[in-house]
Amino acid sequence: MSHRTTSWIYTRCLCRALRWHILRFNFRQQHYSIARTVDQKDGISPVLISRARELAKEHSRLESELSDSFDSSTAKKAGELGPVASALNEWDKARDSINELQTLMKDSTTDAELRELAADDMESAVQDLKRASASLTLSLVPKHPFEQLPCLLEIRPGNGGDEAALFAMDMLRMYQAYCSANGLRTTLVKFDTAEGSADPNGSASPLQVAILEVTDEGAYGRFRSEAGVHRVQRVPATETKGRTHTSSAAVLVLPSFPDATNGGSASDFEDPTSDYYVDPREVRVDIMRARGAGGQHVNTTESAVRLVHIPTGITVSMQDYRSQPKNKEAAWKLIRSRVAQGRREIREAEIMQTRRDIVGVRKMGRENKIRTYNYGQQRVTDHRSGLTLHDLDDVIAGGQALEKVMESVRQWLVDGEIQALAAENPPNAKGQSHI
Amino acid sequence: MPRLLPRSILHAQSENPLLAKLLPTCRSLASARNELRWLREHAIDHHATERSPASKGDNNNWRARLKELVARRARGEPLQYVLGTEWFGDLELVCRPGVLIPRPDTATAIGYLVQRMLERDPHKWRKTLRVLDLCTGSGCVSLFFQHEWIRFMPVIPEIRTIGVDLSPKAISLAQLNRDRLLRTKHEDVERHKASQASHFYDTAFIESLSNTSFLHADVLEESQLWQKLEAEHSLAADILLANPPYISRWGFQHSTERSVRRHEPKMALVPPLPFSIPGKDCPKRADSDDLGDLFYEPLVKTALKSDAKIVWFEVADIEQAARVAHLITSMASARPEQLELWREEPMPGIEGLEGKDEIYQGFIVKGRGNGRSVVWWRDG
Repeated sequence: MSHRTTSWIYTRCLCRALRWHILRFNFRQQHYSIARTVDQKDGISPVLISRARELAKEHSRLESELSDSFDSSTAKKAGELGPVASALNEWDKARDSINELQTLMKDSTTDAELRELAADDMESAVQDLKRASASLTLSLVPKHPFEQLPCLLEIRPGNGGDEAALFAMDMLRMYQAYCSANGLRTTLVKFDTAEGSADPNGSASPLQVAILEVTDEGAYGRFRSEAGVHRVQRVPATETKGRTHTSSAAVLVLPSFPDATNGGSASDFEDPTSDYYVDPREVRVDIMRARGAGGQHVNTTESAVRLVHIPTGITVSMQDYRSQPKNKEAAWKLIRSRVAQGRREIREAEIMQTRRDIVGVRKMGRENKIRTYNYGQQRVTDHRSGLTLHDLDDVIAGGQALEKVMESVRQWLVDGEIQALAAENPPNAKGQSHI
Repeated sequence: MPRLLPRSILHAQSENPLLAKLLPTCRSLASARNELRWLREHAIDHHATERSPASKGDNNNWRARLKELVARRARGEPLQYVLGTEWFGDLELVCRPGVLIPRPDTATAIGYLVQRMLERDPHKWRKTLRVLDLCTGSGCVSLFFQHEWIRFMPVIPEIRTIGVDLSPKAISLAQLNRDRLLRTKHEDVERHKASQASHFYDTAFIESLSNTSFLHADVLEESQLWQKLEAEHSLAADILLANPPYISRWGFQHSTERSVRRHEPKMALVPPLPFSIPGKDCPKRADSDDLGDLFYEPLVKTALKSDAKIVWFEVADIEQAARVAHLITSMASARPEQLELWREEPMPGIEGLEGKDEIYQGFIVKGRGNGRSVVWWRDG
């Protein structure tokens, strides 16, 4: 009985493994980036084209509106749609020239010499169309709303005890090295070992959490691919019998929002379209007044200030400083960021809702193993893009190999977006809002 | 005064014994925690500045000092005297026993006064602005008014300020506060050489602080006061501000905090009786001849004499505010619409109260809380 069960499982595993390989093989055969959406005949899915047309129409409407009267938000929108319109234009041109060439070649009156020329041109025209299709698809891919922001990389050991902590430390060094090799500025925001916060250079106790802030713009877009569980297979330094262990470290990537102390973002407070804008008329300021008669009658040390954002009910109170204006200032700073956070969450939820069904597997959370670092085979495999490199040392050193892996995942993400776009129903209002 | 629950005392005791000591004075855990934190910061700062290289690494010193400070505060001494300073709006002012501690209500009112002047006519005073601050105490009103003006007004004239007080202690403290601000502003100018905006503010404030003087005189003896001001070439004023003693004898016994009664100077709180009445030192109820209004008549006289265009007085409550407003209308034949009674938070709220001002005894009332000041727009 037991024997039969085992063999049955065995065959099933085998089948699965084989199927996986076959699929993988097929996948590699396909054209890299636009493979899954490109219709061989038209070069691009009709859904995308109709969507692009709609956006281009919107763009020309906005442009004509702008020529009548200038409005900064309209201009911004038009600027966002600009690339779509120009890419569509290119695509139309390329397709027209192909059509022209085709009619020329099909036409029986065309003489042979001209036909030959047309055939020559055809090749480059097809190439042009391919390029135009690719750039059109790319222009339609919605930008991640936080792509331009700096980011926070949070690294925590996963399963595997001390070895996991050692690996988490290795990962931290890997990202630090990657950043310095790519000219990105970083600050180690937090470095905690089991014994509390520690010095990253001279700590013997195992790492518990490290947070690295990459302060350059666009860092979130760059590192967003790194979120997830990274698995390591190696003989740990702590192992005496030479056995290979499997352990993991989790990486969380969060966009880092500018705070009020950052001088550059101060203007955001006055910009009504900014998340940070809080209309003072919507905020009730409660000052903790002295009890009783007040004035000269009492000598209060209460300097607390409470702000209530009426539309959302968000309440902030501040009593750290002896000076009331200082408390008020600090409370304003806090309420701005709380309100902004609320707005972001709503927007994110909306975005998530619209793409949950489509993107599905591409969600990146802690539960998914995203990459394996196998020391025995000197191999790094990213399970999402399917890329395998036998250059583990360079990856762990944060070198070009790591960039290669990250780039493959970024490309994989773009593919997912394109797939999602193609699967989406004809554009609706919601879909447009985040383009 | 809310009763302290034994539970919160135990809680404080387990958190920090010093906290439990502060609790009876502070009346709530939250404020006791805040005060303990401020006291600790003060003890450490003080220790850091005093510490000689020899005693380096000895951090028991500040702990001993903190214990001392907590003990003083636990005996009911005002925190501001213990720490030696108080924040008045954005300004940190020195406080000393014998001089009234600046109150936040006063800062709120002065801030709002400047706000209103900005709304009414920001360009009214272009060349000079003469400010007279009677019963100046620590100098807080004099100093804060200039500060607010320079911060918010588009036009900065030459601001000349005179603060008057009867107490020599108050005069020397006010001078100290002025000199201290001057010193920090000079340091700020040195530090922010690059930053243009704050540099402009700092230099303007330095100039107006240098034009600030304090005069020892009795506000109740108006003719002598005028002579003294005349001698300083400054009887005429554009703005007259006053936060005189206004608590009635009854109010001093019944609605004034113990810490204030015990530790702050009574002469800054309660006006003297106009004439001595035997057995009237501790009356059972408010009497018509003891309402704490004694200062307002000479103040109005001085306002008329100096021809001030804008007059601000702090008062004890809404009833006193109305009495003072009536006094002004009868003495100076002012129109009632020139007068406003302000509460502790005179700023318009956001609940759509704007445009519908409360009326009390025929006068416009602004804001929320207890009645706190009377404003007389003589130019309005």
